[in-house]
Amino acid sequence: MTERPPSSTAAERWVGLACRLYPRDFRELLEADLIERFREERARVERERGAARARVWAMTTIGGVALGGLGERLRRPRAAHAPERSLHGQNHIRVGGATMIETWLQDTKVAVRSLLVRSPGFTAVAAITLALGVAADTTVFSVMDGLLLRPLPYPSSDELVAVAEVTEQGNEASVAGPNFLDWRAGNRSFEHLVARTNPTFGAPTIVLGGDEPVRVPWAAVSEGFFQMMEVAPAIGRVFQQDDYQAASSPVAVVSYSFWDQSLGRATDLAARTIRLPDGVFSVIGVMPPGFDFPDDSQLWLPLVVDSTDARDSHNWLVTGRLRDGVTVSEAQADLDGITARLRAELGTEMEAVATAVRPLQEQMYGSMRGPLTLLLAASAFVLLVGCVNLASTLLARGRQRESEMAVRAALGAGQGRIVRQLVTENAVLALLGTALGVALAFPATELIVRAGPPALSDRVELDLRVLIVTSAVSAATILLFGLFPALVGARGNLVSRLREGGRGGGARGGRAWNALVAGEVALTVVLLAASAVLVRSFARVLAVDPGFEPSGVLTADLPFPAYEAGAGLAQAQSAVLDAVASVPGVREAALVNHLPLSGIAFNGDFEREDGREVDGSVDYRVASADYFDVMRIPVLQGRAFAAQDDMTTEDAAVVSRSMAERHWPGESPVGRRIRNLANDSWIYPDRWITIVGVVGDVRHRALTQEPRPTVYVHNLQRPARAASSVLVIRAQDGAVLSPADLRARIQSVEPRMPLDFTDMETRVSASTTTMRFPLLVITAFALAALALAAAGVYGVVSYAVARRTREMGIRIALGAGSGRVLQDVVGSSLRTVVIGAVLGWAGALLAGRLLAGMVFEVRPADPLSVAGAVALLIAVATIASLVPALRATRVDPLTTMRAE
Amino acid sequence: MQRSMIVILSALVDGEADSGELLARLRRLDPTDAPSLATFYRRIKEGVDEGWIEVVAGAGGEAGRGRPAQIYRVTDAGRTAARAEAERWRAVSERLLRGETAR
Repeated sequence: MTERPPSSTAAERWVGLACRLYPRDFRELLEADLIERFREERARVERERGAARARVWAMTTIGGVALGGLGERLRRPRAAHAPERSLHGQNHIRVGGATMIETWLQDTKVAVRSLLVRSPGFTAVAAITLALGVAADTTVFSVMDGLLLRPLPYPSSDELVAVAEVTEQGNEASVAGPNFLDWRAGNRSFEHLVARTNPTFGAPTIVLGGDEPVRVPWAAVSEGFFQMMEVAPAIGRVFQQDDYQAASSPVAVVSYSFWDQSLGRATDLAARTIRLPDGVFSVIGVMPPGFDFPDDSQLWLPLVVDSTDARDSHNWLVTGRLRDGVTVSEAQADLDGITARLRAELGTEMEAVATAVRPLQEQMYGSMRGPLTLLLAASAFVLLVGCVNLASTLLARGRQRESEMAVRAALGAGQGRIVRQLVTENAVLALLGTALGVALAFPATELIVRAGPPALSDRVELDLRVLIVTSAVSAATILLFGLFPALVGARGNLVSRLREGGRGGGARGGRAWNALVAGEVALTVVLLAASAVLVRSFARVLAVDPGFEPSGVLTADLPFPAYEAGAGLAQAQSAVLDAVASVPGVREAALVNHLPLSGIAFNGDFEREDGREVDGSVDYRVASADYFDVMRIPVLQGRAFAAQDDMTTEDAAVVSRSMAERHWPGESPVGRRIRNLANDSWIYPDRWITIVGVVGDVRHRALTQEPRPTVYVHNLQRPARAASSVLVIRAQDGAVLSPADLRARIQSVEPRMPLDFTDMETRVSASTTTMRFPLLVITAFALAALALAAAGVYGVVSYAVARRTREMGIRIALGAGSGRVLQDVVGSSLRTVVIGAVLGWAGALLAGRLLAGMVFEVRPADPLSVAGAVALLIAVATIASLVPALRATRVDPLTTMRAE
Repeated sequence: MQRSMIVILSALVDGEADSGELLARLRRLDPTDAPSLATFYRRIKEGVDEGWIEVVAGAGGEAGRGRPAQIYRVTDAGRTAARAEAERWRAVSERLLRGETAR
């Protein structure tokens, strides 16, 4: 055999499997080279055309290699295989003049003819049923495995934990600097404990000094970060103790892809500097390919945690590596002890009362556990429905073939021979369905990765183990139920079987099928109901008024790295706004520090003029003069910001309606003054801000979250808070803005500004991805189950009609009207469907609990949704049974009787 | 002889090569219609069976994971067969270019 590479990716393993289809001499000569070439070519395609194209290339190439193997076997002359078959010099057992292999080949030929020529419809339905189940389960489990089960790609990743503070109200919060330092100094459980920036604050930053200005995600990390991750740099070095000294020159470590794409793979790192908003940094090291923790970071900077920070400034995320043998709960108890001691010493100055320590993987992907469990349950239902459907279809077909088996037995075939024939037939069917399922699973996984949250794309790939298990379950169903006619046909009463001519079975068979169909219907109702609940919930979300008008608004992130916060920045921002306003088709343009629904929100307390400090947090936003006009946020009282508001005039604020109602109930806040507002408190302390207007509420955090009290301050009066802004532009009615024009005009005043335009509607839509993802997948599963259930009902009614053709012929001959026959056939199938639907109803009410926490303004077991699911299923089942029932009414009594 | 076989043989006329170099030559020869990986290896095997292509273990060259690259070389029989096929195609092409194709 050929040598296998030491560590293969999943795709390479698939190529290896596909190579198994080739003749031995082919594999000995070329397999190793083919796998190696596949690896190199895939890397080339990824470099040249990106990861998504490379995945598609890999899938089609694997398919091509597999098909090539089959083609190669057909191409080779028969003699070429002879040595392979007698390689071990074994004597083949002769059976009735033929070897076992010849018998098997003969059985296979008969099986293929029986399936593809004599009953292509049955074969297609059975194979597609099997394929849907295999593909659905494999895909969903692959996602679950990628996010929750497979360890993170860092050494001993099970020792990595995330640590948060827990406040008196039971809320989890980021960690205050002094608390982190006390934990780090006092704990006995951690080998490393490291603080890093919160991505909420550390949004992508602009980097100049590479080949082109780029915006990249970054993280500032405290001492010991790289040692904690146990990752060594590919080039240069990581931070040392000296790099954390205030007097040292600023340094940065970059990711491999940043080094590759923005630094041109420069080897003279010492000569490379990059400019960030905070200054110029020397590049000292490059991390190995693939390392981008945390949050796809491309750049790491040293973080010095200030011991003089307030203990209620929740600034840092904390990650740790546990010492050998220390459990998560022991580590938590250790930190809880330190926290309790500090709380006893410092009182309420210390907001934290306890800690929350959890595995890092749980912290990163734990929020996906609920939706994924739901999807896994749904895909298991699809597999179950598929298996039940297969079982009923195989039983029906088996009944029809009982007389064929009886004839074979009468002609001298032993039961073993008949069983072997059926096993072969069903094995071919199982192989066909599984192959189709595998082929479907690749694009299904790709589709789910594209439709899902961004985290999926890095971690999810098709799971081979699940593919094997689901294929085995489905194939076992086929083999088990496919043997039915052999077991009853070969040993029953020959004369009666022949006389029944495939109509046999009577009550015992009928009950079995009815039970299977009822089960199938029940499972489908559960899935349909879940889908309906999610659809209704999502419709409610889309109907929510966000408080602004997203259509017709174009946005672009607008960092100003070249300016210190101050007058220069204000002038640059004004120049950009003027440039944008001069583009034809632009109605208004404005700036805001964070867009609604961006997932970023600063908040805090404030102090009123009457001396009362308001201890309820308010959201804090920085906006320019025309922001409310651009976003169509209505001004309810007073005025919005004006062009003349600047550093020379009195500080102005605009508050939201909920802020006004909560803090100045029954009176107007216009003219009132506040200070030490949230993020203002340490940059602009004790500066009074006059409220000049009240605007409508905006759902800033999520469409599903009630609007929070919000204060807007003016960008020209708070330049230190507006250095990184988002440009919002409203087009004139009917005008279509050209990003190229806008880019050219902006870059005429800010030449090195990287610009990427996105319309506001797309941003709103992106904010609903976590809701839309399970909805789309469950609805696809529910529709698949509905199609399977319809096929199941159709199959069983068809079989019942075929079985009762003679009886119906006699009834029609005796004068029964076709309406009566129709009613009889449809009625008997609907009885089964209704029993299944009632069971499904009960199941749906129970399963609704899985949806808790994922729905908005709809009960998880919403009766209307369940009723709708039941009605839809009964309607589809009625149509599915009407088709064969109508056939029954066209029975010609004479033909039927003559056939006897 | 299949079209992809002629292209592979003609790419090897430039000198022996490993599969990576050979695929790169094929892309340069016909960027729009280079054979897929599966077709490429099937043609190689067919060429070996027909005695047109030889496979030799590479000395150094592009290293795989701990494995030297495999080198492919056209044999004299391969050159002759490719030339004969090319002559046949030349005759067909010339007829086409002269507009003398049978209707």
